[in-house]
Amino acid sequence: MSWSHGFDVVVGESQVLLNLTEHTVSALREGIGTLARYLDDGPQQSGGFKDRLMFKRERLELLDRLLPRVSDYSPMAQEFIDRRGNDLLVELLEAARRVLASIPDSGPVRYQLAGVDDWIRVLGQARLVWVPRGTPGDSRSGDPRLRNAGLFTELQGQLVTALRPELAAQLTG
Amino acid sequence: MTAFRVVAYNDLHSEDAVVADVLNRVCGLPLADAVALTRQINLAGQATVGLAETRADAEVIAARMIGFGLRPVIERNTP
Repeated sequence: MSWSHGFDVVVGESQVLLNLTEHTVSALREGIGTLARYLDDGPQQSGGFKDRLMFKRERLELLDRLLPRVSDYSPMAQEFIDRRGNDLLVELLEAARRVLASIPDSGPVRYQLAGVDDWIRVLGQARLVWVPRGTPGDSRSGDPRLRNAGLFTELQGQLVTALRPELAAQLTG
Repeated sequence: MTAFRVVAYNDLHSEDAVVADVLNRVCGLPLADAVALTRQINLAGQATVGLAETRADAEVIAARMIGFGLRPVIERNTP
């Protein structure tokens, strides 16, 4: 089976254009939509008890991935979560909603250059929906989770490279 | 000597351009330092990317990095 994940990034004076294939749009909506759903603090879950339990477990797993331990010393790690965790998750949820809203049913994504950090942040974290930290994605994998995680990583990297070609030149120079 | 350091780990997650961009633009490191530290993270698996007098300041750096998907750890800067 061949996969037509793909994208093209064009940086203009005031906006960024993302030309995305149908598969990429689908992966973005699924991944970022899942991220937003799990980040939403009070979602009304349909389904029975088992479905709600599964949602709760998967949500907690994702939150653990999104907020990694910042210290080997447990109290310090917990205090970081207590002080910073909620703000980080709220900012991410708001960015995820803006990014989702920017993906049209057809045609390229157009996003204000001044706000393009939304995309960089969301791509960097939505891949954790599919893989834990330490597991690299692979956009050519037959495993859809690895493939989608790899796609997000590549799109994030290409977006930054398009925005800052001088940075990419230094890294490869 | 500063009391805390922020260490970035290679979690095989982000491309080099993203790591360098975050270190430069989000954490405020000069571009040359951001590029050098990104290379060090690749080669050694980790690099100290920030020094802070207080834990609160170290947490600000760590929170910025996490916000873009990187993995920081705050350590006491013992000699």
